[in-house]
Amino acid sequence: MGDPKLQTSAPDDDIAKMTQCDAALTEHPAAHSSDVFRIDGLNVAYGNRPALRDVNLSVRCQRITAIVGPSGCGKSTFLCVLNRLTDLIPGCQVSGRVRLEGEDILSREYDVFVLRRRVGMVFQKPNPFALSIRRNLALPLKEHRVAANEIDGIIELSLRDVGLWDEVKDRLDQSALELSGGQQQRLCIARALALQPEVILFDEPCSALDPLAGSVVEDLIRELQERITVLIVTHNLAQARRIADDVAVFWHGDGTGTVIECGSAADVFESPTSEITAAYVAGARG
Amino acid sequence: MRSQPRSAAADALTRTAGWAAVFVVLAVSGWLVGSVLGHGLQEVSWSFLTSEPLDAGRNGGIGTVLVSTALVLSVCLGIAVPLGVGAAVWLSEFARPSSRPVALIRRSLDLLASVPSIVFGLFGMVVFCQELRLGFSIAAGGLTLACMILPLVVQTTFAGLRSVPDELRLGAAALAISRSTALRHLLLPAALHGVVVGVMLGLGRAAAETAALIFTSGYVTRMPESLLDSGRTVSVHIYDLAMNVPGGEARAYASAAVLLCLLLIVNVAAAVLADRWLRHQTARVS
Repeated sequence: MGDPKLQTSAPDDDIAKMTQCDAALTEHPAAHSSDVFRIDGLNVAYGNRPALRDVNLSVRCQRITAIVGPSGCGKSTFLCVLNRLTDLIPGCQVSGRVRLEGEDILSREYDVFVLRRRVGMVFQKPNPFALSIRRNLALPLKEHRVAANEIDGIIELSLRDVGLWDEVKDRLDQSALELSGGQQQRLCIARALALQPEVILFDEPCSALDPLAGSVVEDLIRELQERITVLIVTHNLAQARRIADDVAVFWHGDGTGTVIECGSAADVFESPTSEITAAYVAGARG
Repeated sequence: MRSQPRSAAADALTRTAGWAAVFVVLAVSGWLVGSVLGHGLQEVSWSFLTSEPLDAGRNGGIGTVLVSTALVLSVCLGIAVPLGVGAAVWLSEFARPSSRPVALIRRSLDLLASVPSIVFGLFGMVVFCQELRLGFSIAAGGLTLACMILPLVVQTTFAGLRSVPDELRLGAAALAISRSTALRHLLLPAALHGVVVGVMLGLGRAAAETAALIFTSGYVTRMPESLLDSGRTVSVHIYDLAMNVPGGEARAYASAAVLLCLLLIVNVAAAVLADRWLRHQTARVS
């Protein structure tokens, strides 16, 4: 218990290596024009309590970027900044720059309606609406003024994309709450896909599912990468190894989360530059 | 190990006490309902339900009283439900939960809910009957009852909305679904049972009210021709027959039996309608 290696907060010198992350990014193929997101000096606080400090990161187009790190280091907060769900949290203050294909999404002028259509999100716990399977997809489409005669086609396409069409095509008007947990999560992914986003944020999408349903969702995420940029928060390092192209390691120092290392999955897992990352990926910390 | 028999005995005691409490509650309710229906139903007939009271209520029926009751309750619910649901929606979905105005409003509602009905009666008499010159009228009585049940409707609707998991709000926001759409299609349907319970409790309290109505809607037994006419509700009629009319007990019991049956029918009808509406909402093809 007293082993200092098991401490969960990062020593200052490791936190200082955060700047190396930027350097690594500069050399990394991520730091070029194919970046979808470019995050500079991001700080987030809940009231007086800082949650994220000076986060710098780039997210490559049509790649899977895994966000890993111990609990409470701000991974989910970071994800919520990227589609400004943080706007809904009372007292949450966000500063710094988050650019989506060059546009600063944190600026007041940026239309959050457009942002959330471009950047979809799937949560840890499946959250289908208490509506029929069809209406779960139709409601957001109608909200985004998709023509009525296109809606059925998009619903079928989205459900096919997540491999759910054959399972539900005969009961589209039944309640979505009657589906199994794995099916509900795939429905939520289909609902996000129906809006044709450029990026999808996954916040531990498999952790509330049984292993079999989780592996189906994982395969699905891997397939999505061919056409969509994916950011996935996961506690499961094995999953990150299996599916991620790039990895960002979040850690907390003094109760505030930050990125201590990022780069290609191979680099982060095989030759990490930070001692904390090395211990974390080896399973000795976190 | 010795604590095991003791905890088993404590469990048995708790279980027995629980059953005993349930039995007492059911027995008292059953006794009350049985006594009212037993004494009252024998006097109830079609002509009793449709004719005007005669001889201070000793003879004739309660036809005009039922019409006045329906009008007073319609005015009351017509004002209290939209205002109460609107206020609850604002408090739950738009106001910051920890802000000072919200705390003040919620405390005021708690206070208002505990104000005796006679105080509302005096308030109604001064404000609606005298200041607004409505006189002793169905409108003044309905408005007074609306003020009386408003805190109840706000509190139960607020509780219903707050019991909807935040995942639903976040899920809707992540799909760029506007608050008004989320409210209409997701949150209010999810909170509908709470709203119905609140409205039914309010209706029950309003239908049972006498003190506030004697001061505001009066106790004239003739058929009202407009909302500005005075009218006697069933509860006022029961009070008058029981307290002021020698030989009026049998008709008081009969009126109480009718009131009880009406409240039961309205409660069941509201629950069935809410369920049907929810099923329709779930499956409705948009």
